[in-house]
Amino acid sequence: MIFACLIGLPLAVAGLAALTPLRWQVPLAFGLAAGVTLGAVAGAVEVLGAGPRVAPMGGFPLPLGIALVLDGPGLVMILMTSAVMAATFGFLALQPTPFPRAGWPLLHLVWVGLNTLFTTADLFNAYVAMEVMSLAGIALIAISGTAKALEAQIRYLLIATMGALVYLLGTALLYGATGRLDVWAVAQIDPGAPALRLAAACITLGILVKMAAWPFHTWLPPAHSGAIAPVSALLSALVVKAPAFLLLRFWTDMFAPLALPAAGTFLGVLGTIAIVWGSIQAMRQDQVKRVIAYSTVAQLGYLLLVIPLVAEGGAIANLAWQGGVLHAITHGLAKAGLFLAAGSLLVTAGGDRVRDLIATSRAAPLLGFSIGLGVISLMGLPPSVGFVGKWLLLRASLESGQWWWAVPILGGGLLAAAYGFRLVAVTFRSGTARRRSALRAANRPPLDGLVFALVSLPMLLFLAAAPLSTLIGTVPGYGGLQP
Amino acid sequence: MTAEALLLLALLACSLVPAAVVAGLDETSTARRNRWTLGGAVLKVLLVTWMMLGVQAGRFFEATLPLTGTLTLELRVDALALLFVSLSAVLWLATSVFAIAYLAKDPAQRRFFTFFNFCVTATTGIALAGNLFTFFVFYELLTLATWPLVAHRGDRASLQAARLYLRYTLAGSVALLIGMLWLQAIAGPIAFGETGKVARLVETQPAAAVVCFALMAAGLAVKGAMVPFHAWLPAAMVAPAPVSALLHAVAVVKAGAFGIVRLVLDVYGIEASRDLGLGLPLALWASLTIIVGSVIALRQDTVKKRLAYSTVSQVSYIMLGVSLLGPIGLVGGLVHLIHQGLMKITLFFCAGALEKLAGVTRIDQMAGVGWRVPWTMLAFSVAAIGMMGAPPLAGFVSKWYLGLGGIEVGALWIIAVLAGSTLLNALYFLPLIYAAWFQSPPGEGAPIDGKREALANDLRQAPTLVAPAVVIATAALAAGLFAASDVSPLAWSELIVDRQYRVPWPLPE
Repeated sequence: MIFACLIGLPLAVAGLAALTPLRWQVPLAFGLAAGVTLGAVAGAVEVLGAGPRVAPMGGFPLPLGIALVLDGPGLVMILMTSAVMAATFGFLALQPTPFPRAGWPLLHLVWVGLNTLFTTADLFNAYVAMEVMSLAGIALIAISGTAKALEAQIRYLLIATMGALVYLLGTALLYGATGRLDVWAVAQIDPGAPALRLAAACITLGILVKMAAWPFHTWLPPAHSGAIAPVSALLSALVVKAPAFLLLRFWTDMFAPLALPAAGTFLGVLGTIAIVWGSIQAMRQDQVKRVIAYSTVAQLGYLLLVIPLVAEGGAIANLAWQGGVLHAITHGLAKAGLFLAAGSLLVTAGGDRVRDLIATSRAAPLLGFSIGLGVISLMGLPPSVGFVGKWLLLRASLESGQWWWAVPILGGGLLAAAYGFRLVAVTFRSGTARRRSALRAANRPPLDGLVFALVSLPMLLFLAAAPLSTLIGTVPGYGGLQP
Repeated sequence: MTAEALLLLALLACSLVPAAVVAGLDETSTARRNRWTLGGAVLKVLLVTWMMLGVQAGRFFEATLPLTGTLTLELRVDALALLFVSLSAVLWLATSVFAIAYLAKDPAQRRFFTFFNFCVTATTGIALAGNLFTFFVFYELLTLATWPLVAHRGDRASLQAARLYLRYTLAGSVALLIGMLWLQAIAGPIAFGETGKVARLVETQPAAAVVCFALMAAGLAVKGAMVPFHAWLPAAMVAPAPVSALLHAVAVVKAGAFGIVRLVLDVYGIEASRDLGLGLPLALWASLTIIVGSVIALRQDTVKKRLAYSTVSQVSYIMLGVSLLGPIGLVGGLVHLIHQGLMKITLFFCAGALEKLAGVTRIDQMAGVGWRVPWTMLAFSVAAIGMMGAPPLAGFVSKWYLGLGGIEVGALWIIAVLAGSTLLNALYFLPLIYAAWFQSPPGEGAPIDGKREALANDLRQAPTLVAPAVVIATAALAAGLFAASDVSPLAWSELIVDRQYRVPWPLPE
């Protein structure tokens, strides 16, 4: 029943949306958001009460059936997704330029893919979900209709497909060795087997491409800044986050026995480079959306830093795991909020260059304030729940003796301050706003309130960190479940 | 939730709720904005008073919220917290009155008062924090709440100052955070007052304990404006005068000093600090700051800049008092937390009033200004002479205890530092006072002629701008005159030392 809400409902609504006229789309979307949220809340109540469980899809037992998992970390991600989706739907409903009818079913398909990725324990199912999500997401980029966006879209499509193929190769290798596709199959093979190592390498590489890890990130900034703002919000907050989350789960669960410190260090180094490179690029952009897009490259780097830390096992792995998931949800909410803020800026100021933010200081103070809150979350400062995540990651780093990871974790926060406060500072600059923006400000839809609601969530979650971390639980990533 | 916990939250809400309400009001609804700001400030003073009576009667105020694992947000009230929170509550009320008058015609007041109220919320949180984590949370909130106030004017100079402020404070936060986490990694989570945990490190890992202390002290010294981490403070002088008042006397600089007090007394503990040899380096650092700050202050030609460097120097008296690690020096440091706040905020109120009423910002414009704005300059003179440490004013009490504290631990060189500082204070304050009262304004004859008609005018002319300075200057005067009474800051500081930090004395050799 819960899975029907989480995965079946978006799929059904996607079909329905394709058949119904434009005026039904907004109520349908909000109905969907309500349904998924209710399902996720019911799931969270169940998990907190009765613990996590494996639910083979359609009731077929493994290895024939497809294993879905109802557990805390997945539900936390789904709840975050629901918040982002609801805000995106709200933005699309309120924005002055209409959103095309064809876009709505694609949005719902992205959601199908996301929720599947957050619950699946089946490698091939994950592949299908990733493809559904990526293709629907890539299709949504075209809505902006600019030539630049189309070029970025094609590039994204090519690179994402290559990543998917490499991932599929890894899955095939595992299937060849075990005859199964679920994550527990790996336990059957000797951890030293070359096939397993090669499979792990392929799966990891495929996901690195999908999550735009450095050096596979080049497709992300043009794609995420080229799409219209609400689509960028989904792509940047969720579509790259879901594969990253899956990678974390794999490395805390089925790949953990491989005990490859070199692999962990390698991923950690990639994450470090991503943080530095993405942040430096973000500082140099002059379009707000590109600043935010490069920030995504940097922020995803943190999730790779988690991998060498969870390899420590024990209490330290738990710290790193909880820190990583908290970081993922903070970034999701803040990043979606910032992209929607960029969208609102375009509506208000008629442009989304950094200097257009000058207009907001008088015309839209809430927008400037919301950008500030989003930046605080990206920096990982209190009172954002991202600070708790960062604190846990730092503790894991210092207490494990791998203190060197504290350098990118802290340095990344300072770099985020550099590119983030650059935006905030402009909203404080005195100077005359362009006349056009003053006119537009007169009757604007309440988009800023929506943005504010989204970026305030990490601040509220700070106070709810205790139940949140109970829900996220401990390693292994699949909670030690058995089929 | 207990009534005590609710009271603690109410103390935070006194300024958090006005912040949120003000943010939601229109720019034009000035009266409502002022009502909320002042109402919150008054309510807070009342609550703090009630809490003081409660603490005297032996009630214990605590509120905790577990976050994850061993991570807990903890608020509680001990005598030291009350010292800081009462200072900030009283001075906040005065600053609110002053800020409303000072900014009466400025644009973007809504934004200003929103962050103004956020700022006091963060300061209250710092005072009430019951462990390092909670302290850090509010310490960062303070950075975030003050940044918009420094950037408020939005011109190039303000934004540059804001950028400098952010750079310094975030770098300091990183040092503080590393120190905290490292200490936690080797000693476990430490609530304020659990000094036994670090005491155990003295045997096992003294070097790491010293490095952690150095990191945290350096991080706190940035907000405390200790040389060479002070450059942001004079730069932030471009902000409106009420912001300077709060940076220098109530919130930011005080948060750094208070943090160092907590670090020495409640995390490391006096005995472990002594065993690790932390006192002397801190004392030398504070002394260096005291002298260097004063010397630079001498060379400034604007009133606010001179006051800013004076703060650099004066705040380190607090660190000096704590670093002596003896009971009398400690009393001197703690009482200076209050005294410096009272005197410095008066000086900044006066600087703001001088600017608004007499158009004076540079020191060479001050000739004869005393007769034009007599109440302002009277308050200024009282505070400045107090800063110099002339008896019977508040600054004298601080210096007296610091000097005795130095003698008691055998650090006689402290006397030389205090004497040198007093001389420098006199050199940079007395010319101002002399010029204001005894020199003729340029282009006029005898200053005496205009004096009768002008006298007493500024208080009537701009009561809300001048009265806060007069009231707080009177308080500073009273704090010195009645230092021996039961309700003086000195008495409270002695109570803190007596209750919480009973130092074994004399020193075991």
